[in-house]
Amino acid sequence: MDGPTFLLVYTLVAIAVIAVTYGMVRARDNTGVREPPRVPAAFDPYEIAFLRGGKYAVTRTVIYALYHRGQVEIIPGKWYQSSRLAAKDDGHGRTLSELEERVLRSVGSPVSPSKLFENELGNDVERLCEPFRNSLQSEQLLRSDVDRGSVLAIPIVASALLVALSLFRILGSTRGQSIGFLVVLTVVSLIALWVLAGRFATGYLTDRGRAHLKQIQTAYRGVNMSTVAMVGLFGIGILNGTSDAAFAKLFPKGGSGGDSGVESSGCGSGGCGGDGGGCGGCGGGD
Amino acid sequence: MATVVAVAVAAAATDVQDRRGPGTDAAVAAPLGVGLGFRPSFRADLFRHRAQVDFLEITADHYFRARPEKGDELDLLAAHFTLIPHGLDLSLGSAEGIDAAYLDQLAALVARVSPPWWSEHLAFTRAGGVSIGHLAALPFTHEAVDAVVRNVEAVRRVIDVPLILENITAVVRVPDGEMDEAAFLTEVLQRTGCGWLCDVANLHTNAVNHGLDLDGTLDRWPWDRVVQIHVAGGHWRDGVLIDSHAHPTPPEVWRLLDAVVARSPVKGIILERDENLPPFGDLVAELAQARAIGERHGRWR
Repeated sequence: MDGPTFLLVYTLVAIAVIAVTYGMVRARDNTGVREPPRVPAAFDPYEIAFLRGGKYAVTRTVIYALYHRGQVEIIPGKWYQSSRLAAKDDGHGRTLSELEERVLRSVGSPVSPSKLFENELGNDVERLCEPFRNSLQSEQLLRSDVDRGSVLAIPIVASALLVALSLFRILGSTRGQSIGFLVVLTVVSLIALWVLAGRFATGYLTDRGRAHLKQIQTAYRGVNMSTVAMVGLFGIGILNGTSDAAFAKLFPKGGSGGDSGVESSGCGSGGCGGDGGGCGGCGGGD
Repeated sequence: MATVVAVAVAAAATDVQDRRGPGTDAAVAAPLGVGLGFRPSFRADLFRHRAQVDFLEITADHYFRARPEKGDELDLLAAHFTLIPHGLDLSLGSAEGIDAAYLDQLAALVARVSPPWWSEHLAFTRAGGVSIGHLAALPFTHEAVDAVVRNVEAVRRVIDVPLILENITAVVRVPDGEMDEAAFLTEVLQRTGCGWLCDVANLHTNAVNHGLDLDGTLDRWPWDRVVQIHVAGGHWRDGVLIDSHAHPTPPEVWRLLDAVVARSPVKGIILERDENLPPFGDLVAELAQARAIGERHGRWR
């Protein structure tokens, strides 16, 4: 088979593989046939943050709540140093939840937001959020790790198939035959595969979960309510333009420990739980 | 000869009486209770007090060619409340007929929210192809009735969900009327088979501004056609009562509402509030008052 003909065949095979992969991945999530739960009259900012973006979103919401109450302060950075978060008040004598106590302890010594999760904080927050996870999974709003693992195998196998087909041709090519177009086509196919199907495979929320989160965000968008609740629901990006904008700047969008603000940003509308260090914070992190 | 005349009279009477058929009868719908004219500014409060609000009336025109956010809002509301689309600019009284493009958008919205009925004003907003930008009163003439009947028939060919018609306020009456408003409304409702969206605040406003004795003529209105009611509070300007939906429902309107609900098989009452929005609790209190009136007259539990 000559080069152009093989490229044409490869293109058709790639399209078919991507379509089948997308179909298989989407078929594994049948929660969308159920109506999402009713929008609650009130919600726990930490639980809604967990729905939106897992432990990273919860941690940021808790830190903001502590900052809002004056228990955490921002220590401005010098030219060689980024701004840091530090406990201003050890919480002694105050009523703090176990989750808040743990997060407050993590900033006992001044710490850069990007280094916040370098200790055991992430695991501890994950453990303390277990009731949220159980509740949300029982409502079919969050995908289980087992489910995500098994669905993830589908695009991985599909990727291997595309790469194998490409390698088969490359290894069988004679000297002087150009393989540049094939390499480019393979890369483009893999990108398309993961953009279209992979994001659903790695997604944190189910279809029902995405619909529920979107409904709550629509219901409470642009209204006067507690800023902690708003951060829980929309992410720290909601603070831009407010008197707490300095806090939002500590968590740059897409950066390490960053905040993408709303459910669909950063990782595409398909699978990201929201804020959380780019896609690692939603897909991979939680 | 007498038989022929009798048959002709009976046929005419049938034509004039009740043209109930597909898409005409909201009277069989289940009672909805009390609700609000939806305004985005109290969207969050609405969800915090959802148990106190039975249904919503949405301004249909706000969702035509809607931005994605408005579409999301519509889906959200539809998932939580029965929605009644309320049109503003269909111009059912226009002699030139209905704007087909507007009607198509309205039809798409009605199909999307599947309401038990939808509503429009008994008025015109376009003349000679020009939009006049507000609801204008029709002359109380047989010719105007004919125009409304033609237009309603045209609308029904596109939208088969029952249509109910709202009486409007008019600071100035069109001269040379052949009947009064009660007779005009009665004839329109009989010939179209539409239900009545009785705006009690508008009845009160017109009575005040035109010096009419509403209490003395209550038996002349087609109460049996009432499907839904509007209540609201207006304000005085230069000696004229304006139906601005800017204040709490006044005692006179509550009293009239009680009299209307006592006479009507009403399915739902909507509180309208567009300006000077009070704390949401005040609106909920007004809804509770309306609910109690409906309960007292056995319209719902």
